[in-house]
Amino acid sequence: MKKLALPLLALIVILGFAFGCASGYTPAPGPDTSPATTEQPTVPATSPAPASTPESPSPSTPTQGELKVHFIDVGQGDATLLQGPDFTILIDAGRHDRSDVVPYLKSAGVKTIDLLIGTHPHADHIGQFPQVIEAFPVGEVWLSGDTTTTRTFERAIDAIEASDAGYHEPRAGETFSFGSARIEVLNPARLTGNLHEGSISVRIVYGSFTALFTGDAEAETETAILARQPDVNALILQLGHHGSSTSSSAEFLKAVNPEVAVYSAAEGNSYGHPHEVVLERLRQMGVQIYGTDVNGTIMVITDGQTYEVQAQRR
Amino acid sequence: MEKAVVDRIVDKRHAVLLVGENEVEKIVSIDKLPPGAGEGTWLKVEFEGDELVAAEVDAEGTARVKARITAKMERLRQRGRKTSK
Repeated sequence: MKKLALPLLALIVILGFAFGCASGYTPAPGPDTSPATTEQPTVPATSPAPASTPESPSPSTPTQGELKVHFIDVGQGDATLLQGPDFTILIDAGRHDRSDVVPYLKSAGVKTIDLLIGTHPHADHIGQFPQVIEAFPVGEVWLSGDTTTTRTFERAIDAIEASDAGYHEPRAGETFSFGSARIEVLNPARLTGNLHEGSISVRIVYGSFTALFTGDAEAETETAILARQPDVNALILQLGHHGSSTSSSAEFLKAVNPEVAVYSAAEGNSYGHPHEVVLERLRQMGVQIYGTDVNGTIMVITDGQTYEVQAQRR
Repeated sequence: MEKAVVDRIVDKRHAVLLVGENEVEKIVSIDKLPPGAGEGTWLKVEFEGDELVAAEVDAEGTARVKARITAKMERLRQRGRKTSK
């Protein structure tokens, strides 16, 4: 979107029309007006970090190949697949009363999962942990460490225990490498007993591409994250708590400064997610918005330098 | 009455209950929860359709499950990471 050379822009517009999709060049955010398929902004790979980035911008990682970030349409729940050339990460595993995650992963060609993250123990996030763990070899599982008493949660931890997976409860400030991806843990610093406050939040760096996932962290937790002064700047932001107004404070959005925001929610859900106030805040900032309720499964494809967004439907 | 557990409170307004053996999701207003009930509390409930008409806290059941899960989590924490940083 930024710094596109004119001929390239023209080409994209032409291709856009040729393939029957919106050009995706003018920032016209909102689920109703989002471009259906592709957009090809240029990631400022070598230019200085944007002004909103804290003093010590994190370095990019060496990359070879494509990362596909799949925001899987799992109804009113969350499941995001990060499929890289040398890593496979699943952040959350859908709702407990559906069984759509394993079939999707199989169709995407997943054979093994290096890291399975359950951002927090609610049933719309860890719902299909048992199926996923039974269907694929899983290297390592991360949970926040918060617990709950549902059968769904108990089945999830039973499945982890029955598997060969390693187990970790990540804490803010830790950094991990999975293949050519770096994972920076932003939350929790410690557990409070409030499951949303304990949501594992991670910033993924692949080349100069960045994406931020905060699970169901709410505004108080966003404030706590910012107070710890990590680099939160990200091109792609998954909106916290399904686009609820409990999350995505103006302050947090400003700090993240995303180009694209994605939320996962079911059409006509009982909570009215995503909330209009959040969408409006993003529109004011010129951020492109995609949602699984409107767009179905959304895929962001990057080579670590540039990215494009592909949506199942417009 | 049937067993249910409060899975989550959404937007400080909605309580998501998982009801019965199969954990069927029912969403009710948090005003309908009995005093002392929050996330992770086991209840005995009676529904008429989607409407919660009676609910009481099962403190003993809640404590029993909590203890069992705490023990399982302790075991999980023993295993640690296996892949290298």
